Amino acid sequence: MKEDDEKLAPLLDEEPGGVSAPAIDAVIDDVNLQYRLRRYRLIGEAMRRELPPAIDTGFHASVMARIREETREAPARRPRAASAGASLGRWRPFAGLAVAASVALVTVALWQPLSQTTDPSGATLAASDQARVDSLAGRQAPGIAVPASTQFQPLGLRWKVDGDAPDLQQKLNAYLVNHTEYSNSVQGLIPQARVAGFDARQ
Amino acid sequence: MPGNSRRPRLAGSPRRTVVTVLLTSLVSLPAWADPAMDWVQRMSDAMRNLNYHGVFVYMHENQLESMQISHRRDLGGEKERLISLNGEAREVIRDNQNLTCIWPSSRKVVVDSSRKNSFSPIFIPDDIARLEKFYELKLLGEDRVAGSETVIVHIDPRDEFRYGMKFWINSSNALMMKSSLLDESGREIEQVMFTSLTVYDDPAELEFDTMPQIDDSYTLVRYHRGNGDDADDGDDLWQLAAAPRGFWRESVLKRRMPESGQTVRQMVYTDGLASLSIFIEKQGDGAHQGGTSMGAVNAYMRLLADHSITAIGEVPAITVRQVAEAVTYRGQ
Repeated sequence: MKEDDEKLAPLLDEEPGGVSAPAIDAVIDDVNLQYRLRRYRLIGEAMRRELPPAIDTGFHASVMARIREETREAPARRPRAASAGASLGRWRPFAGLAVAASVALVTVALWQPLSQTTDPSGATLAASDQARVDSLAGRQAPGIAVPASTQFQPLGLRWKVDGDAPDLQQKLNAYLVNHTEYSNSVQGLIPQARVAGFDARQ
Repeated sequence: MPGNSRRPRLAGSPRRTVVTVLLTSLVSLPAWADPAMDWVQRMSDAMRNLNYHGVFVYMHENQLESMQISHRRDLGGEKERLISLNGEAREVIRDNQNLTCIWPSSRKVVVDSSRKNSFSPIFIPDDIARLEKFYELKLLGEDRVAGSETVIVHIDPRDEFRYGMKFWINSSNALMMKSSLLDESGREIEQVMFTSLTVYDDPAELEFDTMPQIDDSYTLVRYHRGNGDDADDGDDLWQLAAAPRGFWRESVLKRRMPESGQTVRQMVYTDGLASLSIFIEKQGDGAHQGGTSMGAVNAYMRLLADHSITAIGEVPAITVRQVAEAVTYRGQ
């Protein structure tokens, strides 16, 4: 793990013309280092608040072509991540950094002030939306809205519980909303569908 | 001579170009050695980054619901509006600032601060080694869903602490066309399937309002304002003695319920695919204990040190129970 970081350090420092050939070789030969480099770059970009609105997931064709070209020139050297399953034990020590990096990435990403976009229309819309939400909140008389756990509102009576326990239903629904929003999912729209799925009248 | 086995040095220019692109671009992702994982990563990214509008059915607990989704990604970030087309028009609206849930039956709007990542999870090959300890990922073949060609990815858990998943992924744009969640016995407990889906190259073609269209009869509840307070772990008295194998703590949050001032602690755990949250708050009147479920989501509650502990997530009942019972309080 530390060794990998040391390999990436010269590349992350980005000294013009100062990147050594071994450092380049290390990244070209190791798919894990490529991903790790990408992660670190994302963290750096996020810290500098330069994150793009979207990330293309395809491997850039020209880079692939060049790497293939270089690989052909050196058939004796093979990428180290050819078989993830076979090399399970070897990757295990890296899991910690992977987790730490992903947590750091998420954390840093969350700091990104998304409303401070270079797109003026986006920023205006965001501010407008916030103002409308605040306006809506302002309409509410003080003391009317009561936390989920203390006052019954028939908000989604779908949990399988014994007896009439609307406060519990409400609390669990609030938790589900929070869980949906704060957990990271590869499932796309499914968590939101679950939230929209509960309905008091079913 | 050892140096002979190494490839000859290239002239500086092409090599430097490779590195320059690697360093200056965020597009440099090689394909996975594992094609199933490659499709999962591509699907995850596509769902977050593409602009689309479609209708899908959501099946759970012998119920069938039709929903409509609009999703847009532009320079302003990600916006999404999901509307239930059956019964009351329940809505979930998400943008960079807020997650807004509208339940017409209760005339209620619930607003939470949005904290979605500005991009989808990024797996690296290291991650798959960890995932493969707990799941078997495989391609099952091809199928046709809503007129689109798809590849089927099966994620099969190796133990009883997580659900299985099947994804039908659009072959051309990697959007998820259909998904199934499978319980410990392989029984389908939840399914989402698009019946129509349109993808827009230009987000400007997909305009939609991310504010609820509601009147003054609605009551607004905002669970918390701002981005939430990240909990300070340094003096955290609440710990999980033993998480189920493969789960790690992703984040810890503290939020204050605005009306009551009640502080609720949330700890999010994930194994990379499945996730669960533990909520800890001061025990109120009539605190409940035991397990409950809603579709694929399970919850388990217990009391500890005058606090209510609730584990909740899209994982089997045994998992939330084990997690809730493993919570410890060091202040005792």
